[in-house]
Amino acid sequence: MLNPSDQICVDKVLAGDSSAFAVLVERHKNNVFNICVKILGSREEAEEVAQDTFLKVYEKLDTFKKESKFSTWLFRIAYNMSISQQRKTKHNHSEIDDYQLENFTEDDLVDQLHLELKEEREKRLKSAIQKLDGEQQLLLQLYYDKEMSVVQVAEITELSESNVKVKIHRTRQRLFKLMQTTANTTVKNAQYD
Amino acid sequence: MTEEDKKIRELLKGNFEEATPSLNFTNKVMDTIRAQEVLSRQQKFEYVPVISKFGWTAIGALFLVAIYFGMSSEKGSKYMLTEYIPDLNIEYSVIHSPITLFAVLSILALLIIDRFLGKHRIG
Repeated sequence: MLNPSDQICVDKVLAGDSSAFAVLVERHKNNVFNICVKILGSREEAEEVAQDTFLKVYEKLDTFKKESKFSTWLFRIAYNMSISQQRKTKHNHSEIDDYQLENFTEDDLVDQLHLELKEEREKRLKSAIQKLDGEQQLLLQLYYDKEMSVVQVAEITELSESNVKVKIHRTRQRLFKLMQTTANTTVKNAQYD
Repeated sequence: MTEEDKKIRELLKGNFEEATPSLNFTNKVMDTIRAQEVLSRQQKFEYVPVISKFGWTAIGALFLVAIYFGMSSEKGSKYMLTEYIPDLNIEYSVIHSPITLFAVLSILALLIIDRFLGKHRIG
């Protein structure tokens, strides 16, 4: 079997074949590392926490209840470990709810963005995404980029589904607000030039 | 998922920065796991002596008591040690002197204190 499923690998590890765990590490390392980097902001710290996440998962593998997907369980552990590491080192956890958001027509902006040239649009999007804080980026990435459901995101972040929906909505609003600001600045700069 | 969500997904997809860990990430994790396994296997097969330290202390104490008893018995008694080992001829007064008793009690006290401190060692 070339690509054994996560569950097969988990069963092999539980049966004593620790080398099967390497397949799981190789398969999920990028996503785990990505979660850690988004929350911690430092690559070095994220690498350490990502490693500790896999070690913890290996130790606690017999407690995995198969109620959720292995990847969801793994990402939840990575998320929790990153959050506790962040609390240990920074203590300045910013909340999405703190932002004062103005009402604006999101639909119009989305339509406008679809009409823009791909390159220009991507440039503006990437720049706006960079301005979001790590946790906000992670929420949008899990939901829109990794195509996870609200239920999965809620399981990983241990938030309620409604809370996840609200946070995604607010982050999205903030993202588009940032894009609008970038667009206005570009127009102003162009006028001065 | 709503139509709006689908539009946004289409828009955002692929625009997030994907961070990747170091090239030897998997090896590092697996090396640590293997090292931990070796360690736990060693702990499982740790040498456990048949007679514990406490056992040896008890045997030693019994032996000393037996010798003391054999030396301090009255002459002619079948428990008298010199009846069996004639060369071991120590004066009766030496064995029964308060200094000997004090020395034996001091050694016992030191052994007990040593054992107590050993058990309650910090770190």
